[in-house]
Amino acid sequence: MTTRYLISRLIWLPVVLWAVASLTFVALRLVPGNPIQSVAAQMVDAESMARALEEWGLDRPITAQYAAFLGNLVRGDLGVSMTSGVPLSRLLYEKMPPTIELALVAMVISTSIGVVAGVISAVTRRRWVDAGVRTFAVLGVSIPWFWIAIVMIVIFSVNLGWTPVSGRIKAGMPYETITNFMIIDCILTGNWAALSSFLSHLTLPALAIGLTSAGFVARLTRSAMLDVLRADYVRTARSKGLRDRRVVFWHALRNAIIPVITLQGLQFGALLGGAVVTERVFAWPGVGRMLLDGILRRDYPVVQGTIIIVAFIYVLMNLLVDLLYPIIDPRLRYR
Amino acid sequence: MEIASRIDLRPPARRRLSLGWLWRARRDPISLFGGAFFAFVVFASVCAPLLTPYDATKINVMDRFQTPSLVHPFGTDDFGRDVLARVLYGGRTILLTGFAAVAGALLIGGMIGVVAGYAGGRIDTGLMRLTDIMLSFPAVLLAILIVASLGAGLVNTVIAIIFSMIPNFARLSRARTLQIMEEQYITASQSLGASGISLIARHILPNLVPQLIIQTTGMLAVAFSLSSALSFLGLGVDPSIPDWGLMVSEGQRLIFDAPHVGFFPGLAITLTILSVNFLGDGLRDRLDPAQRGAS
Repeated sequence: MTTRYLISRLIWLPVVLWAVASLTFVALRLVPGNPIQSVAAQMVDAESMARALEEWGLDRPITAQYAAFLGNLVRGDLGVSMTSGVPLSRLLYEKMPPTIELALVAMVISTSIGVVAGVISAVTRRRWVDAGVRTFAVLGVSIPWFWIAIVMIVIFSVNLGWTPVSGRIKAGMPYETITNFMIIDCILTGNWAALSSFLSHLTLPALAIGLTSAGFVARLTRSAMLDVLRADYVRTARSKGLRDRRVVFWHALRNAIIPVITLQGLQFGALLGGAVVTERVFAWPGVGRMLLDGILRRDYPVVQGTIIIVAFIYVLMNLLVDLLYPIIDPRLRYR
Repeated sequence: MEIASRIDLRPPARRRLSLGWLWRARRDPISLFGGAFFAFVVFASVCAPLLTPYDATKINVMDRFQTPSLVHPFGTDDFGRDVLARVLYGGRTILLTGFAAVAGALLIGGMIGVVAGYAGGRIDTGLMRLTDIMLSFPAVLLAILIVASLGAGLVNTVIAIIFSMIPNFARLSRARTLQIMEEQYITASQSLGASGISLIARHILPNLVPQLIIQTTGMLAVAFSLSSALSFLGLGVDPSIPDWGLMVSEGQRLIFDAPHVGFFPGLAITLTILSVNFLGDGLRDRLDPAQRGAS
């Protein structure tokens, strides 16, 4: 059963990826006028316009453009930026790591705070703890990231001066790039000054995202914990005389954490989409800002490539969560 | 005969509308408060001209960067415009885009879901594959893609939000339609020769209402946050219209000189979405008791 489901998901995958890419391609061709007109207002004379159109392949019929687009995509070629002339693969290689870095650290924050708060709330069953967790969860989904981020900047950067206002690292700070993941690069090269500058820049954006999602994680952990703590095997463990702490953390939490892992898997994809907002606030040099700049400059290869890659990652994350499920939770293997 | 008479073929009784819910709601002060606050937000933005003497768009260089005071309760911005007036008028933009988008998504998504669930077979598979593909984009990203394609502006913001929310409504109404189609009274009506349209209109749609109300309230909160996020990014409504997302974005430029400019509109967004979420929680408990305590 599971194998059949797995295979059907894997067969369906290329179809989804094709549809995602095609939808993006078609949507961006709905723009009135041609992209050259909007990008280069200075190219007024017909001759240079025609040359530019030919150079970008925009003089060809839309079907031919689509065929070329798909062919290039299969070979991993996402095109070239119209404003900078840099290939998309190069741009993504530079801009993807900062975004992933921020999303991962934010998720570590939300998971650790959320799981701990959820367990406490489930175990103590105090009404005020529960009320606090619920309020925090609703507040977390209600506060817009861009606003809470700015409030935090005003408090911690402008007034208290604890953290930098924006950016990823202090301007002019020398550092080497190997993987473009700043934490890894700094540790590999032993550049501790750059690492501490990076971490101080990372703190606020990661906290802004992490704290707002922590309440939701806490609520989910709490309800999963309450279900599990009622289960027979937990009672058995207790009646064997095991210590309470061991029952809660070793027996109960292992099962209660499953829905949390799923949620965080899906959350990762959503964070990549939400990166457009957070990166704009903190001037964080990731794909979100690249996408926004691309839209404002009407650099459609950048917009197209970024949206396709982020959607691909989102699709793959969802698939991964589905496939990991039976591995984490053996009960699902025999359904 | 014996057995047949025991099978209940009547459609379930429809709940009568009465004011009893208001009395029962006293036990749920949080959602009552949410509803009341949201009603206040709607009232305040609709009656904005009665509540403030100031013009939300008129530039007044003499009054720049005033901190909150009795004359300007929320202060003024870098153009000397009264922030309270802009918050009051700005509420109209977010409410308009939010309500319009949810109504559109409810209509289109609901229709797709009911047709898919009722028709079944290839139509169902086709329509659901379509929503699967729309769900392959994170909601913000799909909205951004549509705005990038159509351009910014009020109408396009609404269209973008509609598209990013259609799959949610389609999935819910399909799942519920499938459940309803299993009921015996549907089989009974079918055997009596009821047409598809009458089945949908008389039995399926009325039974969809409770779940759709819950979903609509939840999606309203999502629509408000998408609308404000798009205008914050400069991809939403025209900058000449007062709008909370835009005001926060303008406020970010002024964090050193006048942090209050972005603070109040952001607080307004938060409280509005919060009140809708509280209201939605209460409605879910009331209309869908099976879900009580879940999530």
